[in-house]
Amino acid sequence: MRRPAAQRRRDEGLARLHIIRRWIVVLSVSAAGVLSAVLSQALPGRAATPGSATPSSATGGHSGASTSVVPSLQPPSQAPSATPQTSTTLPPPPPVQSGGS
Amino acid sequence: MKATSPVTFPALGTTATLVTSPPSAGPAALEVLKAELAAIDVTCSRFRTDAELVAVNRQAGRWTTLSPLLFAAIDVALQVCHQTDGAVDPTVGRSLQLVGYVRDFRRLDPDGPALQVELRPAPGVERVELDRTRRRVRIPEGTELDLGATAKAFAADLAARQAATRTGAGVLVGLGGDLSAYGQAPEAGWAVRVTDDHRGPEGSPGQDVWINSGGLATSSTTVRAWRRGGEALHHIIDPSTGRCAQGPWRTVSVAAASCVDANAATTAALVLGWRAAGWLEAQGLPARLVGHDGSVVTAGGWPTG
Repeated sequence: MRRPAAQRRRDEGLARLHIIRRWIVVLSVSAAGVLSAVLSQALPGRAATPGSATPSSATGGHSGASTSVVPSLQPPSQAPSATPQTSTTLPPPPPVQSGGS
Repeated sequence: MKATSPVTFPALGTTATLVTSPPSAGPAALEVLKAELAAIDVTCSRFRTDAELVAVNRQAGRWTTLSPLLFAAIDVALQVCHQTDGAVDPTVGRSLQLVGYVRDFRRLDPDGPALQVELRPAPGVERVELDRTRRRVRIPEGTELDLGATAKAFAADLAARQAATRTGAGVLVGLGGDLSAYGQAPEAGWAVRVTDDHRGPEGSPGQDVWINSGGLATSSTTVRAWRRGGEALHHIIDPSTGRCAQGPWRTVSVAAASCVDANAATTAALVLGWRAAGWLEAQGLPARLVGHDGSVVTAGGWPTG
């Protein structure tokens, strides 16, 4: 028994719609994956759990590295002086040598 | 207050020195110093087969759980590498071996045949992983850590601080010429003679200075030096080439807040070469640089005279 032409056109239209919807789902999932990968590279995060291993490297050049700021080398509170700090009647202690070793 | 005369004794392949103010604190401070040195030696030595660092190097590629002391020492070495923009790098262990520094310097042949090896840059610390939570480290296969550039200074800081805390006295600790001062200094300050070699005879070329606290270190390419095939070699490695540093300076002295910082700066200066004086000035570190011809350049407020 032949279907009426209107019904046939409707079924063909629904079939095309089904295919289009499937492609939309596939492309959406793919796009979401690509976007996630791009963002994770651009904006690296760090582990939230304090118990997890968080390797640290001195240069902090890779993901997962220590985020603590390494302070720069610290100057002395007072530069060395060429003369004793105070004049004293006590005999000065013999100097300690600072040289290569 | 008066200070003792320096007490010296061999340690860590070099000379340890202790001065206290007042002198009565000497015996207790010496006990602290000797305990610290023994702990550092069995932990950080690259030459003792029973040293913890040797085990870490042997297990390269795998995680190794560390004692608190070695963890702290490696942490300091990695920080120093960062602070010196890689000029002082603990991954130069293999490079030191390749240039012939294969055993305790006192047992190293002063001369020998030419090296037949290809020297390469140090692997770098980027792939050295330090797990703070589980107190462990993993170094890449083929990498060897050497803490020679930081461990002595680290030990000097530890010992001086602990001795000063325990005795309540002023304490100056020197290890191979790297000095750390904690507590109340003598009235005149701690007298220090900066020179090429910390074991040099009295009157060696140099300069007398006085410090109150913190660190004062000197590094030199004229000591811990040897020859292979007629080529002069020494223990300061340029991590970027894997070769002995070839700069215009033979000796650099730096004062800093700690001995670790001072020693990091002196080693970095020898590696940086011509850039060293400007770098030290920018860091605000008082420094004295001696060229191979004996000429002296100062930076960062180091006293002239």
